[in-house]
This record gives sequence, C-alpha cells and structure tokens, in this order.
Amino acid sequence: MAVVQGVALVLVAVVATVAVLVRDPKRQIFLYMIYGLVMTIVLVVLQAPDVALSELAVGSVAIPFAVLATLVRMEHGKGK
Amino acid sequence: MSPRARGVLAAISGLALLLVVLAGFAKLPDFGVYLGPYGTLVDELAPIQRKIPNAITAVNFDYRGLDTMGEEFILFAAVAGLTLVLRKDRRDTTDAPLPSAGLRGRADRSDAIRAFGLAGIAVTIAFGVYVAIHPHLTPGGGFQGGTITSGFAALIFLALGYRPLKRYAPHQRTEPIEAIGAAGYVLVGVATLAAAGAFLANCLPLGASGEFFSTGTIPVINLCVAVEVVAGFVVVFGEFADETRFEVDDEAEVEP
Repeated sequence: MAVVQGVALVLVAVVATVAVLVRDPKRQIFLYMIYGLVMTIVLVVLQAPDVALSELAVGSVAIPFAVLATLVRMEHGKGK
Repeated sequence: MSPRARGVLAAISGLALLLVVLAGFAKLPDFGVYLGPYGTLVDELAPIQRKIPNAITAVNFDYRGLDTMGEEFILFAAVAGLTLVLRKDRRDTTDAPLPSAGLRGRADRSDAIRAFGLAGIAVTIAFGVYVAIHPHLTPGGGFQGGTITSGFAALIFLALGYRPLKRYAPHQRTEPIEAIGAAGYVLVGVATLAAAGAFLANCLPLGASGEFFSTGTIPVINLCVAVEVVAGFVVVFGEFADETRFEVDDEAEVEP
C-alpha cells in the first residue's frame, strides 16, 4: 500500500508542476482536470472516499466548465 | 517599486516563509498517524448511537450538523454572489435567453459528441442520485452526489447547446429549487428544536443499521443539501453558459 501511495503522491507533484509550467490557459485547464483525477486517486488510496468524490466532481466538472466559459467570453465577448 | 527592490523583498519573505514551513513540518505527526481522540471516539460511538455505518456522515449531518448548515449557506452565498456579479453588466437579465454569440454553427457539434453526451447525461444523473441519497450507508452524500448530478447541465450544454440548457433548466426554475433546499435544512433544525428542544437534534426513529430508511434526521437533512447543491451548481452553469453568449448584433445570430 505504501508503494501505491508513493506513486500516487509523486504523480500529483508531477501533474501539478506541469499544470503550472504550461502557460496557455486552454491547455492548462485540461491539465487541471487530469490533476483533479490524480488527486482523486490519492484520496481513494488514502482511504478518504468522501473527499475523493467531492474532488472528482468539483475538479473535473465544475471548475473546468467555469474556466472554459470564461475563456470563451474573453476571446469572443464584449470585453475583447 | 523597482524590480531590484521587489527581488530583495521576495527573497526575504520567501526565506521567512521557508523557515516557518520547515519548522511546521518538523513538528508534524508521522505520515498516517492519527493523534486526536475525537475521530476514534466517533468511529466507535456513531454506529451505536446513531445506527450509522458511515461515521463521516454522522459528523457532517448530526454531531456537527450546524457546521454543515453554515457550509451550505457558504455555497448559497457564493452562487448568489456569482449571479450578482455576472448579471450586473448584461443587457438582458431576466426571461429570454441571451442572443447567440454565433461562435459555432450546427455542424460543429459532431454526432459522436451528441451521442456520448446524451448517454453521459443518463449515467451522470443515475450515479449522482445514487451517491446523493446513500450518505448514511456508503461514501458520499448530498454535496458529492449533488455536484455529480449537476453535471447533467454541463453535458446538456456541451451535447445539445445553449437553448436546450435554458429550456430544461431555466433559472426561474432552478433558483427557487435552490432556495427551497437551503431553507429545508433550517426548517428541519427549527422542527427538531420544537420537537426535541435542541436545534438539529436527531429525534426521528433511528431504525436498523444498514437500512435505507434509518439514522433519523440524517437522510432528511442530506436530501435538503442534495437539492440545494444540484440547483446551485445548475444555476452556476447557466450563468457561465450565458457568458459565452454575451452581446452580439441580432443579425449575427446563429442557431446552435
């Protein structure tokens, strides 16, 4: 179990770092969704399924939707 | 402030922060070690006192039910605040859907996206509702299940477009539902105050452990949270969908 936890935690560190280093918001949001998924795996591995479900829904649906809509507005909307 | 001064300031504050963080880490308990007595006590007592297998839900909706009420109203206030900010500079704030921004035509949404999107709506609602109504038996509950369920609105927007989203989930409908969910939590609290003399006291019959109808007021409160969260997130999705449509000349309108 310790190995799985270690792998999952390293994966979070890698994906989080990549998400920060990629500067294009359109690419960044997809990395953020992957980050949410990896974070969900960490929480499952650490036996916190309640928190994992929250992270899954908020991290891979709610936040990306809001960010993508905002990006559309910034590129095509009135405030262009 | 000159770039040089900024650099010096950043270095000093960074160093100070590093020292605080290192000092904090040095005193942390070892990975996976739990020190406090409270969690262990709840683990032992919740299944006996409340006949509930999921102790986390017992804390959220019973022992610390008041805290969860506060959290529910944080979400409520956040949704209201977001709605206020986003609607502030829109021409049309009420009934009619906003004009299309003409971003994408009918052809841009492939059959595959529509087919998988529609299938996804069914799966999302089934799984979300399942998670939402079994907080006392399995992991999850009103917040998690509600958030997952609300994904159906995002999927309608992606698979079918803006107008179907506004047709199936107009804010005139979702906003009152959200308010009913939020109010329901408080009303349960007031009712238990009247019946048992304490706000959110668990005074309903507890039933048998593992049964769907068991653990007293917990599923009732959870249902209020689920309703509030689903409707709240659908309001949010609707508002952000409105943002993608903002402000174009009427002649440029394109049907999605």
